[in-house]
Amino acid sequence: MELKLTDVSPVERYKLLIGLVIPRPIAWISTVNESGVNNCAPFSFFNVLSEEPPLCVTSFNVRSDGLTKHTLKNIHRTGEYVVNLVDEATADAMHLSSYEYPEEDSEFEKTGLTPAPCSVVKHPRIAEAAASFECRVWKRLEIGPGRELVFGEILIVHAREGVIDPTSKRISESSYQPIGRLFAARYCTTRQRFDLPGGLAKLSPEN
Amino acid sequence: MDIDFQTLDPDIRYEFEKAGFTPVPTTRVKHPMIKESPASFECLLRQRTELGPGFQLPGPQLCATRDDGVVVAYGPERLAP
Repeated sequence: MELKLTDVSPVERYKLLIGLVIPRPIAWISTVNESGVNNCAPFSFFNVLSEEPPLCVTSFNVRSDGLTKHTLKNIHRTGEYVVNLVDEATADAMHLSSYEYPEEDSEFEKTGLTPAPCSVVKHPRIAEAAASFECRVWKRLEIGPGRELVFGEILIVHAREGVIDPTSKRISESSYQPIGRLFAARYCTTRQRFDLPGGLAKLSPEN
Repeated sequence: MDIDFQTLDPDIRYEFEKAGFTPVPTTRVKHPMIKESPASFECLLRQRTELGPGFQLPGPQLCATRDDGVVVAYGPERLAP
């Protein structure tokens, strides 16, 4: 079938695009608001883009009530934020933090997460996260009604012990088990890994 | 409908032949799509932004749509030397 996207409503476009482009990595962004409330929320229009400069990008839409998301407000105010990466151990907490809580409520408290101090930015990172990036806003782009891209320069990488080999800087496959976003409340693991060419056929169906 | 291989750019033709895939025509852009792929997006370059030495990023319009309904996607691409 062929779909011309002018014939498709934005809601249906969203469904098509997030259903086809899967799995997507998840930016679990933690920030603190001006009253000192620690906030975190997941975003899956996210990826890394470049190593020189080291950049990541996140796309924000508006809340269901049409207001700016708390995370984006905190980014606008401070020019900084923290991207935490989500693994199997933190999957449930991440999903719980995706609900729209009132601004005075902390997703850290709602989900039992621990805020840990950062080295450069004023926002907390999630202590339980497998890895976290301290980011400074590099560029913002308003791309449409209610859609904004935030490019972040990654200043500091934090990782749980065992995730990064200190010498080779390689990532340990056994220590880092990230999950991916599919659509709605559906996610996937990254347990089935293979080398191409030929490796896919050697995977056992029970894996 | 299959594309006449002879009308394709030789480099593209070589890639398709080497991989054993079938190029098929698209509706809005001049490039072929891969018949065996489960889904394809026809994309127009909307904007390019220089990020740093050696890399360019076409377009900030990630998954945005133009008035003519074409999905505009983007990804890092290495500059030709």
